[in-house]
Amino acid sequence: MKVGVSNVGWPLINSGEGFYVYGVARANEAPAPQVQGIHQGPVSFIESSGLRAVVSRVPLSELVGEALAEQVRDSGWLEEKVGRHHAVVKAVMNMQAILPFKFGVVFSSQVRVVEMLASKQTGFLSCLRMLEGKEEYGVEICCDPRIVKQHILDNDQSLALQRRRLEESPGKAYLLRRRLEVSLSDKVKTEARNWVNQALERLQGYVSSANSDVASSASVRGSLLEGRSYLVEQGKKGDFFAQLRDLQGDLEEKGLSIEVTGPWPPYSFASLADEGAV
Amino acid sequence: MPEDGLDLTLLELLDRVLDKGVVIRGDAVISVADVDLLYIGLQVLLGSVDKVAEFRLPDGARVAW
Repeated sequence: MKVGVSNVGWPLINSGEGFYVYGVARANEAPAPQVQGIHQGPVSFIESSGLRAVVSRVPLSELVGEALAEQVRDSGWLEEKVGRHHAVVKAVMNMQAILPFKFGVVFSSQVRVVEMLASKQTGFLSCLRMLEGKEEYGVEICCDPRIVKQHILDNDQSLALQRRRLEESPGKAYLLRRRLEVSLSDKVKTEARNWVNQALERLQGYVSSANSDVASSASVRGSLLEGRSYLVEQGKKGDFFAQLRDLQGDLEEKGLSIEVTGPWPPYSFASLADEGAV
Repeated sequence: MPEDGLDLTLLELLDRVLDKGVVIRGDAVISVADVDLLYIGLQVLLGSVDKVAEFRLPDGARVAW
C-alpha cells in the first residue's frame, strides 16, 4: 500500500502546522461553515485576489510517512477524512458556489495559500463562473440480465424462429439450443448497449462527464452499464428529472434501471485549463 | 427518484473526492495510491467480507489517485 505525503518544491515539511485546502470560492459575506475540519479544528477562509480558499489547520507531523500509513491500515482513517473533506465542501456549497479540490492538498503557510490564489486567479474565476447556479448529479444505468434476456426472447423475431425450430426438431436439439444461447447472449449485450445509448442521447442537452473506472467497475447495484455525472442548471432541474423519470419508465420493462445521486458539489466538472502546472 | 443529497454511496463519494476535483500541487500532497483502500471502506460500509469480494478488481489492477 502506498500512502504518504510528498513534499513539492519546498523545504522538507515534517513539523508544525499546515493548511489543508478543501476548495476555492468567491470572497463574499458568506460565513465560514460550522463544521469540523479534516483534523478536528474549525474551518476558516484565507482571502485574496477576490477569492477565498476554504482551509483548516492540520499538524504536518501526523501526515508524514509511516505514521500515516499505520493510521490508514488500522482504521477507517481515509473514509473518515474523505467524509470530512466532503462535509466541508458540501457545507460551503449550501451557501455559495465552490470549486472543490481533489483530496489531499496541504500548504505549509498562509502566504503560500495566498500565492496559490493569485497565480490561479483567472482559472478559478472562470471555472466558478461556469459552475455558478449549477449542480452535479450522478446517473447510473444498471441492468438485470435476467429481465433483459426475457424481454429479448419475447420480442425478437429471429430468436422466436430459432426457438420454434428447436421445438420442431428434437434431433438437432443440442446444436440448435447452443446456437440459440449464443445469439441470445450476443443480443443481450448489443441491445442493452443500444438502449443505454438511446437513453444517453435523450440527456444530450446536459453537460456530462464519464465517471471513473473505480465506480463503473464496481457497483453495489447489480450490473452497471453506464455511470455519468451531469451538470444541471437550477432552472432546468425539473426538466432533467422529468426526463429521467420518462427514461426510467421506458427502460424498466426491458430490465434496465436508473439510479440518481446528488446534488453533488461539482467535483466532476472542477478543473483548470492549465491543470497540473504549479 | 432521490432528489436530496442523502443517497450517497461510499463508492461514489470516494470516486469523486479522491479522483475528481481541481488538481493543485500544494507544498505537501497526501497521496494515497492503492485500490486496497477501497475494500477497507467497503467493509465498513457493508459489514460483510463476502460482499466486498464482488468489488475486487483483477489482481494487479491499480488505480492512481
